[in-house]
Amino acid sequence: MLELLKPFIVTSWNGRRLSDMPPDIKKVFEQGRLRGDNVNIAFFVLSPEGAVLRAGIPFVQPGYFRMDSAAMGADMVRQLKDFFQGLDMPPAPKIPREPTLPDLATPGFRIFLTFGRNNINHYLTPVIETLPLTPELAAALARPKATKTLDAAALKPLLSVLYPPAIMDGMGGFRTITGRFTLEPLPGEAAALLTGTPTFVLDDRNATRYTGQLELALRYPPGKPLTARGTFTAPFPRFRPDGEITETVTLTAAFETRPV
Amino acid sequence: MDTLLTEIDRRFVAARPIGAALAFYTMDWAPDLATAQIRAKKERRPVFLIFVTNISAATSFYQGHC
Repeated sequence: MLELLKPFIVTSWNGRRLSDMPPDIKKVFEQGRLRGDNVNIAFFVLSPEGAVLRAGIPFVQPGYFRMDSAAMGADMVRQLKDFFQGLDMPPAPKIPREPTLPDLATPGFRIFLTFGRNNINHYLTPVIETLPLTPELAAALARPKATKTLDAAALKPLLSVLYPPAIMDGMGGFRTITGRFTLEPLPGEAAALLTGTPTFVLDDRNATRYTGQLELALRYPPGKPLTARGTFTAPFPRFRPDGEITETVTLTAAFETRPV
Repeated sequence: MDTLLTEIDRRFVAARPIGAALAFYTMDWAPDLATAQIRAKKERRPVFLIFVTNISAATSFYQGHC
């Protein structure tokens, strides 16, 4: 599939509903003349001048493929080949081999979220979140003179990205995030450790609750923003619609600061 | 204490995805349509737009969400 998309500059738009579309996306959507009041996923091909050359709604039904990611991938390749048929495509440019990861232009955190193997093969691709280091967050994480305790509220921006993938109900938020954290300066070093065990309750139907271990190694280079590396790991319960837990999947986050 | 920092670094390296796990991000991504169109004109290349609505979350496909 990646090979098929090589000639393109790829971009995306996500919204909760069609009425969320900004003007440039709406223009493309209208030119595509797709049918339906509730388009969940659609593909568009635009010429270099911005004309809509193709518009279509792919068949994406994991249940139809019995959650078999290989079968879904093969079918998507077939659909894309059909979709691109007849297009006058330029040769694929040499694309840098290094991934172009979501990043920040100003100091902040980049967080890689991975979900362990799970029954429905959800989220085999890591989610990558970015979070600016706001003055409030920098103040909360500043090297203390002595060990201090922080409440979850002080770290809310950092904790709010620890949202598991593939939640199919709720509004993508939390009912509560609680926990106490210890920020401990390392003697004789421009460094500190942040540790704690936050508990999250999602805004989903089952009020899913998970608790994990957060640990960040913070360093304070003179005259520069703090840098950090760390992890969060939690067992995450997945529910069936009837409220029964079907499996427990490991949610892992790796924190780093950017720019390096 | 330095050992603790080294140990956290080691756990970070183990948890951060690399290589094939990041294949999705080897596509030639532009963060938004406006940026993609500016580049498309300059590089004479087509744009592939992935459009997603999801009532549960207005997140970003480029960041790995669906």
